[in-house]
Amino acid sequence: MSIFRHCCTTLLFLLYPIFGTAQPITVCSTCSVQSIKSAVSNAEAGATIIVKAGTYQEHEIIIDKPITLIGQDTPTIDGEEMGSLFKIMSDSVMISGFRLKNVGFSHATNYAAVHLFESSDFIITKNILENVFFGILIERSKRGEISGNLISGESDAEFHSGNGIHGWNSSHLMISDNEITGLRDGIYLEFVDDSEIAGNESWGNIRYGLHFMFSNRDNYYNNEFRDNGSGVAVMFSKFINMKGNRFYKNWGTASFGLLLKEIYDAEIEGNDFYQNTVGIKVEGSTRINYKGNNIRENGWAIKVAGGCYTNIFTQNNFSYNSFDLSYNSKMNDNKFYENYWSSYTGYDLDKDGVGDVPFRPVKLFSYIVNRTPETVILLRSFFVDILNFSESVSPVFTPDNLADTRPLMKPYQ
Amino acid sequence: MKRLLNMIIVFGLFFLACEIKPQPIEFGHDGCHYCSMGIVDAKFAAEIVTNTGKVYKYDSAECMIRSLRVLEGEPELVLVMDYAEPGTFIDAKTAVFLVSDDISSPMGANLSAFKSEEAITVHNKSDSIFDWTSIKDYLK
Repeated sequence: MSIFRHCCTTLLFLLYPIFGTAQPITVCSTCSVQSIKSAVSNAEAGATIIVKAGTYQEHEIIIDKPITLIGQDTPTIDGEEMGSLFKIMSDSVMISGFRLKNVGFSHATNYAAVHLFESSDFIITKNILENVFFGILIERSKRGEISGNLISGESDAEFHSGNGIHGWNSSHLMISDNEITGLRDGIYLEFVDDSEIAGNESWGNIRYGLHFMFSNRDNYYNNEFRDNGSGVAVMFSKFINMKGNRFYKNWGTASFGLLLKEIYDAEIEGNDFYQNTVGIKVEGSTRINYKGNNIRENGWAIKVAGGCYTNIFTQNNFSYNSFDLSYNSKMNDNKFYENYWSSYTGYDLDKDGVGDVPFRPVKLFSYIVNRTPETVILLRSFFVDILNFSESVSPVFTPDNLADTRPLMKPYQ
Repeated sequence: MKRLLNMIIVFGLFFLACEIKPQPIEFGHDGCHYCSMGIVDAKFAAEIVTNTGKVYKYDSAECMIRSLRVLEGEPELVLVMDYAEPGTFIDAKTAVFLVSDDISSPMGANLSAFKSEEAITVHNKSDSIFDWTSIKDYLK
């Protein structure tokens, strides 16, 4: 027994330095410490600062040591549009439970509610960010968690807006369960590797819900992208997995559910594309597997432009799109097989669930619309039906080998 | 008489459409002709008007310059936005181009355009300055 007690005391003694400064610093309007800045400058490394409810007019709060900042009953930090609110330049910083509002705007500097620079092992969680220029700006940082934040910009500021979560030259980020609206790009990642983006809701942003540039080995899954300029853009990136995401109602002349440009080795699986001008636009992309996606009620389900190789489309459901496919390059070694096409009118005599005649998803009329967009007003006309029918009987303009040779009779489950 | 008036209006519109002049960029709505990205940043956008009056819009100067090689039609006006005065076009042929790590442009070339060399406010020892001919070579 005494050995056990002795062990406990030893353990406590050993742990003492970790929980060392046991007393957290409390900040409130009637406390001895009344500003977050002075609390931070007085705190030792590893300290916890608890900020009580109230409004604090502060900006450029520089955190240069490991600190845990916790807001109790959502205190407000008002930057009064003067600049960034938090600037974090240390490892192991946590910020949780704050309302951060009114970040400054500038053409030359990217001001943010939370600006992380050369930081690692950070947690930014459960904060509300309002009227921000940039929301959370992450530069040259790694191993961070950004979760459960609500980030909004003033959408009337149009092109003056920055991005909700902006990652640059960083790695191993976990961005999850955030809601982002009224910004330029909801989430923008440039040179960001080995990161996960999950369960976020990004809607009503001017450009993209989520945007990858020059980023590799990232996964994004179970996110919703709704009513953005375009849903998601993946550009100049490799090994990006996209699973179980929802791309809804991205409408406009230059709008896409998903835009792929110059990307390699991606998996696109189990996503739902619903009511977008173009479901997926692909350009210059190689070794992409599209599997088990629902692509329904879009203007164009998929638009394929030049330079695409080894793209495989299988087990996808193409339901009630105005055009299933637009294809303005060579067939190359791209494959379509065992997809469900709602506009398939073939038959299945041997009852194996697979249509006996191939389906040709490219209609002649989609070629014409691509060249002269105004002709789209003829879409439901009898003339166009004849045109499409004659082309399907003897293909002249559409690639002869562009066909689903095993079209499914029923939607893939 | 009424028919004549209608014809005049129709012909008028016809010629109006062919006029060679820059078209304002609608930020947040227009897409880049070269890379398909939405155009949102007034510091970097660019535009080409061909000799037939066709307008191509770009999200960045690097996209505009790269698209010159594959452009259908002869460019008449080549315009870039002034980094120092976002939203205003300047003639690319007389502009000064800056490649600086301190300015990240939409397509990763770190390229911005200015009216004159004096207008450049960012200074860094890694920066390099180009004119219209040399920037085209640089981006090749």
